[in-house]
Parts: sequence; C-alpha cells; structure tokens
Amino acid sequence: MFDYLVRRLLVMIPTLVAISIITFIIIQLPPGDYLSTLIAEMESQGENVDLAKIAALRAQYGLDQPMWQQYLLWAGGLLRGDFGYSFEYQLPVADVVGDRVLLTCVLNFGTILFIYLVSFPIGIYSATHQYSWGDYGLTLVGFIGLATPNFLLALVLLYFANVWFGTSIGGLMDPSYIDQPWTWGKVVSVLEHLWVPVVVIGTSGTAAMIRRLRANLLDELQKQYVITARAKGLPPLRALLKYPLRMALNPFIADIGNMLPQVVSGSAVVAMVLSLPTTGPMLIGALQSQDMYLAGSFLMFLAVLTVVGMLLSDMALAWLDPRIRLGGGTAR
Amino acid sequence: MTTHRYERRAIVGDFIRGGFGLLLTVGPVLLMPMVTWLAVAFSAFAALFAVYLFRTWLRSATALEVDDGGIRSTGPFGRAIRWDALDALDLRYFATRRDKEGGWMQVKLRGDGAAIAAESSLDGFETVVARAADAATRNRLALSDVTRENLKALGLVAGAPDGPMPGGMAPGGTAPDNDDRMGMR
Repeated sequence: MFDYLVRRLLVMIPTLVAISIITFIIIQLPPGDYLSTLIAEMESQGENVDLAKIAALRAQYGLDQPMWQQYLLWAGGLLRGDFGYSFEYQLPVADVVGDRVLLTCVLNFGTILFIYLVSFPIGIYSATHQYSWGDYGLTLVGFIGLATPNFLLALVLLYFANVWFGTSIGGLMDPSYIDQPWTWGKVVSVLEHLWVPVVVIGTSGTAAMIRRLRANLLDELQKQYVITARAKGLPPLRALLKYPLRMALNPFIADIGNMLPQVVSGSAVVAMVLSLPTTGPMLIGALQSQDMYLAGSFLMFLAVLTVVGMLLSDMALAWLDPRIRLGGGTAR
Repeated sequence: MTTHRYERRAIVGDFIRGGFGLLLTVGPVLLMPMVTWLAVAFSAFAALFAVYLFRTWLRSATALEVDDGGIRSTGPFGRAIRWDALDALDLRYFATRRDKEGGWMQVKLRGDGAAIAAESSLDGFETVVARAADAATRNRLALSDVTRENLKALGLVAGAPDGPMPGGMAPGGTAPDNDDRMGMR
C-alpha cells in the first residue's frame, strides 16, 4: 500500500504540471491582456490613456515577455507559495483570495458529506425494499431533486431560511462578521448559513448517488451467495452489511474523485445566486477581466482539489478492493 | 531450494522514481524561499520518497530462499517462516491506472511471529506464491475473497478445501454452513 501511495503521488506530479500548462494557455488565449482590457474600458469612458505608463506597467507585470517566460515565472511562484499579483485588485493574489479558499473547502466538504449521509441510507433502503411505496416515494423525491435547477432551489430555500429561521439573505455569514477575524461567533454564523448552499448543491448529487448505490446493491443482492446465505438462515442485516454492501460501495467510493469537480463547478453558479464569498464568483470575474494570475491560481486550486480527491478515492479503492481485473496485465 | 531476487530493471526503475520524487520535493525546499505551510508539505512528501528509496534499497539487497521447509528472506532484516507455521496469506493487486492495467501484485506471508512481503517484480514470484498457496491449503487457512481471486488470476487455488470460492459458493456446489466460511466475519 505504501508503494502504491508513492507511485500514485508520482503520477500526480506530471498531471499537475500538465494542468498548469493547459490552464496558463487557456487563460492567455483571449486576445490582449488585462492592460488591453483596461485601455479599452478607459477609452470607452472617454478617459485619456497614458501609453507610456501602460508600457511601464506591462513591463512591470512581465506582460511584455514571451508566454513561456510568463508561465515559468508564475509556476515558479506557485512552488514558493507566491500566487502572483492581481491586476484588478492591485494586491497579491493571496491577499485577495483571503478566506475564500477556506470557505470553498468548507462548502464543498460539507456538500460531499451531505451527499453521502443522505444517499447512503436511502440507497440501501431503496435496494432492500425494491418496488415498495418507500422506494417509489424516495425515487420520486430523488428525481425531483435531480430535475430542479440549483438556482431555483437556492432562491426558494433562501426565502424560507429567512422567513422561518431569520437567516440573513445571501452570504456565508452574518454581514457583521464580514472581514472580521475568526471567532466562535463567526464559525457559528457560517454553520447557520452553510446548510442552504449545501442542500442546494448537494441535492442533485444525492439523487444520482442514490440511484447508483441502489443499482449496485440490487446487483449484489441477487447473487447466489446472498440467496444461499439467506437460505441458511443468516440474519438479514448481517447478510446485507457484511458482504453485499461492501461490494456495492466500490463504485460509490470511486465516485469521490468525479464528484469533486462537479460539486465545485456546481457551487460556482449557486455562489453567484447566493452571493457566497467562495472562489466561484471571483474566478468568473477574474476570467472576464483577464486578471490572469488570479484566475490561474483559482484554476490551479480547483485542479489540486480534484487531483487530491482522485488520490483519496483511489487509495480507498486500493485498500478496499485490491483485486486484479482479469484482462489487465501484471507488470513487473 | 530456489533463490529469488528482484529484477534489476524493476529495482532501477524504483530508484529512478524515488530519486525523481525526492529531487522534486527536496529541491524547491532547499533552493527557493518558500512559505512555511508549503515547505512542511514538501518536506512530508520528501520523507515519503526517502522511505520509498530505503525500501527499494532493502529490496535490492534482499533474496528470498524457498524450500520444502519454508521461506527465508536474506539480507538486512532477514526473517524466516516455516510452511507448517504459515498462518496468513494475503495477495493484493495494485495499479495506478484507472483501467487497472499494468499494475503489480504484492504477497504478504505471516507466521512464526514474522512477516515476509514480496512484489511481483521478484524473479520467480509465481513460484513463491504457488508454494505459499500450497502451504495455505495444507494449513487450511481461511483466505480473503480478494486473495482467492488474485490467486485464481495466477492459475492457483488455495485455502481451506471447504472454504468459499469467489462469488461465495463453496467448491463442489456445497453451500457453506456458516457465515465465517463465506468470508463474513
């Protein structure tokens, strides 16, 4: 397992390098740069543009250098923990991002936890009570969750959270805590606000996960060993938990890696609707204004999150099910 | 008696992997100023790669001797297990690719208060596993479903004669008579 971890980490290195190169190229693809956009904006507002000053700024930010040099400068900075400089905010990216990365992590982790906590018991119930009223009812609820647009659910929940619980509209904390140092009250306020986006983002993922677990478990429950175990008088709960459920969990765990990018991209839209101080809205703004170091840092953060998620899911799978797939070869 | 060593090509490959990883993690820490949390993360990864290199060196210096009496690993931290004292056999398969191709196997044997592990890059790995599988059958060891399936992939069947087959049915069509025999512990 240790060797597997190390080799898997080694696979991550070229993956992250490739992602960083692709990210940088994509950010640079639109014509011009941040300063070109700034000039166009100033000219459209009838302001005079000092071209000498713009040229000096371009040299200062390294925008006059070839793309590969700009990439090396940025990638080298990332390795040192220096994420570059935000042109739009006139601040280092680390200062601009502030608590957003932490809040994004909290939101996404909470969403994934919600998806698992809700879908796990419902998936098991639906599989073990196939075609029952409960199964049909929960399936219906699942499909409604899958079909309801996130932004609509966000608006509805926001309204009821405000009417029933007095939770302030939008944001991830009470306005009085914004830009304040972290205190216990601020943590509680974040937790009070967190459930709305978690439910909104997690609902569609939950529905999909319930269907997947139900299907996997039904496959296992119809196998001969389960029928034999039941015929021999093994208690139903034991016959369910000890083996079929474990086997049905493999695809469930393998999905962690795939779920992370879906949750992150899903949370960007919801964050816009709910005015959440997460990375999503700022990333969209940075891409629009070609604030390349800010956008690049966000994209790399999301890439690292995804790659780490894949690593964790692969590690869990290797631990749970280290079986050879017949047809696959064993290398020396 | 047969003697098995790790293939030179595999060992060199592991040294290159470990060295590459160590270089990429230690290099930035030593050569450039770095924020503390990143330096800690890089140092932790560097420690992992250093341990990996040490384990690779151990493998390169180790030989496994197998005979009718048991199995011995010679070299640093040498150990021995008699076949009649073998009380656990675990065969696992790992692959870094999503399609599970191009992976490697690892066998772990326990008994006599010692543990010996070997990877499929060992010359004559199948012979070692076959011997261990025979001993496991003689000792009526209960093997995990994973181990049985991996043994089957190597063309081997082992474990308690009345134990479960992959898929849960006992050999010969007889159903297991308790949950322990079904691997349900």
